[in-house]
Amino acid sequence: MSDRRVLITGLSATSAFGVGSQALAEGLASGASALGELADRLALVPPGIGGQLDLPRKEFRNFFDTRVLRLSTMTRQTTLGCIACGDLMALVGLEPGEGHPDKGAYLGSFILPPDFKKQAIAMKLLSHRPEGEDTGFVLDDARLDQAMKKASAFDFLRALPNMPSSHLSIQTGFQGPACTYLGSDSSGLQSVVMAAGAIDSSLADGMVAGGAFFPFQEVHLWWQQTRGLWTDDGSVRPYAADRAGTLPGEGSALFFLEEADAAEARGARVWGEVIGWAHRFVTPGDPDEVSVRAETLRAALPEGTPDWIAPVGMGHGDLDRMESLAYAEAFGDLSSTGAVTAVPQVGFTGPAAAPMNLAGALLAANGETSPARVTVAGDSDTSALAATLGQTGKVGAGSVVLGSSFSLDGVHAAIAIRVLA
Amino acid sequence: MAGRIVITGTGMVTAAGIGVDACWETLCRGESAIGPVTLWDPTGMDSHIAGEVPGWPDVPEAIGPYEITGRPMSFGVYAALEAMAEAGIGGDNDIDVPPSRRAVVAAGGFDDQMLGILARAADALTPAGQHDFDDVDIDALLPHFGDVGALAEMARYSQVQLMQAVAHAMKARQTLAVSTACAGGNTAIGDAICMLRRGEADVVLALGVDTLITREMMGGFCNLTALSTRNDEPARASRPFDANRDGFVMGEGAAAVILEREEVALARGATPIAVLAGVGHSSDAFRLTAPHPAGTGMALSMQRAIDDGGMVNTDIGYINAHGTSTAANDTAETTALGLVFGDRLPGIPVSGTKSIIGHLIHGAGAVGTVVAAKTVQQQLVHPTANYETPDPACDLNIVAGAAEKADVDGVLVNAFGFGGQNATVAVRRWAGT
Repeated sequence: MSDRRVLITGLSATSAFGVGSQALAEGLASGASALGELADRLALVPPGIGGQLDLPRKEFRNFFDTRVLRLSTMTRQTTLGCIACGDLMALVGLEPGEGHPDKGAYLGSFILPPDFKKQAIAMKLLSHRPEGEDTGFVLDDARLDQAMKKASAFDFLRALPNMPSSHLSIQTGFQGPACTYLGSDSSGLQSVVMAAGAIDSSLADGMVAGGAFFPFQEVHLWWQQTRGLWTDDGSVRPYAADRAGTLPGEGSALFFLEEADAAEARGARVWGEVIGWAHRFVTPGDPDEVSVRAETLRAALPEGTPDWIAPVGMGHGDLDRMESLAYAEAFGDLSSTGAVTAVPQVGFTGPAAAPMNLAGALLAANGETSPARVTVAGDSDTSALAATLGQTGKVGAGSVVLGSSFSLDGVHAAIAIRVLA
Repeated sequence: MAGRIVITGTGMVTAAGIGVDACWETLCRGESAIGPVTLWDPTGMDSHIAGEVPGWPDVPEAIGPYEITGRPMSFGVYAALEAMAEAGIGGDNDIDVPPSRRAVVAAGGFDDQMLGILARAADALTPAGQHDFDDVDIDALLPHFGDVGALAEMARYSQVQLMQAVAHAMKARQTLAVSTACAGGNTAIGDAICMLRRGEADVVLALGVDTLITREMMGGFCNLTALSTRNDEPARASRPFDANRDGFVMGEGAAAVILEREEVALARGATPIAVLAGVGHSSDAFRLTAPHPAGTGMALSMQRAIDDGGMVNTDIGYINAHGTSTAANDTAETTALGLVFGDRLPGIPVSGTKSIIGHLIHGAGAVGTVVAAKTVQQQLVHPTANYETPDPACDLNIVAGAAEKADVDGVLVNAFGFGGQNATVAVRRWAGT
């Protein structure tokens, strides 16, 4: 790291709790589930339950200019990112538009299949069984022109993987670096890590960064079902001995990261200072899976023990086991550490999950929320993190928050933040 | 952490050939590698032409647990392994750098298998003897996704699978996957530079790959009227900065560079190919579908790369342009170059690699960076194909016809993404310490 200090001067989130940091704080404090049954075609695929944001489309204009950012060009995950970004801009006191050459936008998201129904219609036009065969299919290019008419240019635009961050830069007027980080559920936290790095490297003085995710697409839900993500018993129980999987949630969580002098010059509210970060990869199934996770945590926070942690807490058998073992390996005694995860209440929000949990932990460390504490009966592997869900960490100046993300694909990230006086 | 960043390995697969040398020779001959689409029948589309990779690269069937299948995996892995081999990384005489200090940063798009997945589900639903799927109820497809195995195939290729296979081959314990569309390759290189400078890694492989000669992606770009429709003259279709350009031509392939801090590379006996001097990032913050016509975002990107490299504008002796051959890009890029270089611009040679191989989207910037490394190493600028009728709105010193010998110290490589995301890389000649 250089001698440039990076501060967190704003945070926002969207989820089944609602929009904004206050909704997140209240939701975490309540301990109540915001999950509900899924309707229509989504009820036909597993798991049939998830966390959805209830916000009418007409209210989107409260967060971004719908004449500039057309909903027809946005996927739902892009929209969720822009809603959180609009809320964040208002909180931080930045006006969208020109005059931000020194600020940028990074967003972690997921490459999602385009609109299911339109794709299915195009498929029906294009696909046929080969002549003389009773099974199998070929794509009949002779019908290509008809199939392409079923998909508009906007469908195509929405599907481009860089679009989420591109929308943010247009929304904000930020002319600094903009990038969509992809490829795993850790990409949201990776975008925060890279944003801290961008400021450290003098690429920008301010960065919007976080994650956004929309899982409610039929093929995606089925795909995750085949990967063993979803529970079939309707509840998510992180680190519990009887955990059975997770449930999907949509949402976004963004931070505003700012170079310290710039933040102090404008009298910004400071949530904390970034004091370390890391990301690592290990091939799933590798014997070092746990130790690489622990190394990620220790690389972000080389000394001391965090007061608050923001683990993923998916309720997944293997992922929870390795996550808990990694924390125990990295820090040993966590008896004074409190953990915050929104996953049991709003569902697993993919690349937004780790930033959302981190936002919750930062709120707690700053005394802006008191997350409901729960007693969890863990097993021998998960006992370390199971206990932290019932504990409260230090609040106020000097409190150290550690956010982490460990993905099914083996991509891991962590970031450490210290609350300032 | 101070010190220069150097390129110690390069790899490339494009329509111009498989391997850096094959590509470079074709580029220097100025021969178009664009032809009719042969991967499927594009008759129903407005554009029937593309820069397809000739043949199939020689890659392992698997790297560790990662099966290498399909075009994006094969091209990306080939480029990565070629770069690693040139840098002397991997294999029996691997370098002495721990895995936690090795990284892979990859830019790539996606291989949309949605149509195939849906068709397989429809196949499972459809009675024997029936030959089309018109009667299939869309909702009825859904329960069959669990049965058909197509979803497992979906997981086999993704940008992440490619990145992880390369990371496995390189024994790298850090990975990043970026997307800034057509700027992706340079964004990956930019992130790699910053990771090295911050001391987070000692060696980074940056990779850009795309294989978008698909029904879905070409259809989408056709719907946006972005592709050339000069179907009767494929070799003449991609013509950056030419007055008669009518859109870009889709390409495919991959390019990779190995980046290290100079002192680390020299200490292990590596010979740098070029210096990766700096990177500039910017956003137009304007529109999704068009660059800012005033070129302000593009100019910011270029100037930031020059500044980041500790250079001045007179250090730049060649520009590898983004040059897509679309009306909007080429005029905006020309305007931006004017903003950066002013009166000096007519004296700087410019060429457009896409004139020969088409547009590799996420791979384009990485290709440009490998081309820049070859340019400063060999002091040779490759020509732009099909530059026949100068466009007054693109008043640049375009190198056309044949490759030109040139005394080039610094090169700018431009990559400007759909959606207004820009990344420029500055490359310099390496002439010893």
